[in-house]
Amino acid sequence: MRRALSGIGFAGGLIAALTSADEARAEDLAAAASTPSRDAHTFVRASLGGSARGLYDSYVVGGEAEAGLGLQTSVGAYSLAVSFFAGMTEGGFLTLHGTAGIDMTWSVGIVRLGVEPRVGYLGLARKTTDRQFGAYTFGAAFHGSVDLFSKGGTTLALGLEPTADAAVALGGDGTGDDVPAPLYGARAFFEVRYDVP
Amino acid sequence: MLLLASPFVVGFGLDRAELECEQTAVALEGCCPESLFNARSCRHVSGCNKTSDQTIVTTAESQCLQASTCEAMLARDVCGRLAKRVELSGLGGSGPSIDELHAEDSLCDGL
Repeated sequence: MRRALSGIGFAGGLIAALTSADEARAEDLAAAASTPSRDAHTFVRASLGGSARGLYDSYVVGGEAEAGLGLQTSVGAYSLAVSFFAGMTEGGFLTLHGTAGIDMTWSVGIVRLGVEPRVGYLGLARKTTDRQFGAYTFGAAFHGSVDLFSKGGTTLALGLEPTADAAVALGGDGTGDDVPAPLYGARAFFEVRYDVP
Repeated sequence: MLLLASPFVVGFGLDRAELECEQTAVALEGCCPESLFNARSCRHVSGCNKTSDQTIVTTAESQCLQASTCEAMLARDVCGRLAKRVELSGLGGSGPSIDELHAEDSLCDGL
């Protein structure tokens, strides 16, 4: 009898232990699911930096801001990105360049490398007339960044971004060459990323 | 949509000779009279059929004028010669063509 009671007690203890282990495991999974580093989650990012572009023999220096919304997966981060550049040429002409593209980024530890095929529009003020220069741009931005700080789903990073575009006056008004002009550039930026819970 | 509409709002076309001409207009500020260039000076006048720079100063002239000093340009009366070129180019069909004006008096001679 005593042995039977002892057996029942052992079984009850075992069930209780197993139940407790399952609960703990479930809690761990739930915690992992809410951790910012989990796979396949939405993120937003914004960056700001100084930028320079070369057009023909002229340099354009200014600032550039970029924002993106996308998906971080186990094989990379993919986002829709828009950027806006404002600067001045050597002659003091206001230059604006807006782009939209698809950014693809891959992480190696705290280093992130990526490429962004993009299209855009470049506008350049003139001195002799109010009518601006204007051209569509087609190209890509290549970026590398290093994560400096990460906590609670928020990451701060510093990076560099060389860019190469072709400025094309599609369907020009008959007053230009309509020959694609190379537009090279580079941007140093500070980026904030936030993993959406 | 805004991107597609922007050329019709702010202008269209990008040309090296025109950009160099605009830079030259800036470089001559303070050296030549301010009203030297007009709204047509830095625009191609013969459209897509052009075979040479149709701006009031060619790309080569723009580059040498931008690299020159005001003293050197004043010594060669660049401002006066350029003013004459602008005036003659405004005569239309009754005056010389822009190619003839370029060939007649190269602004970089002697600079």
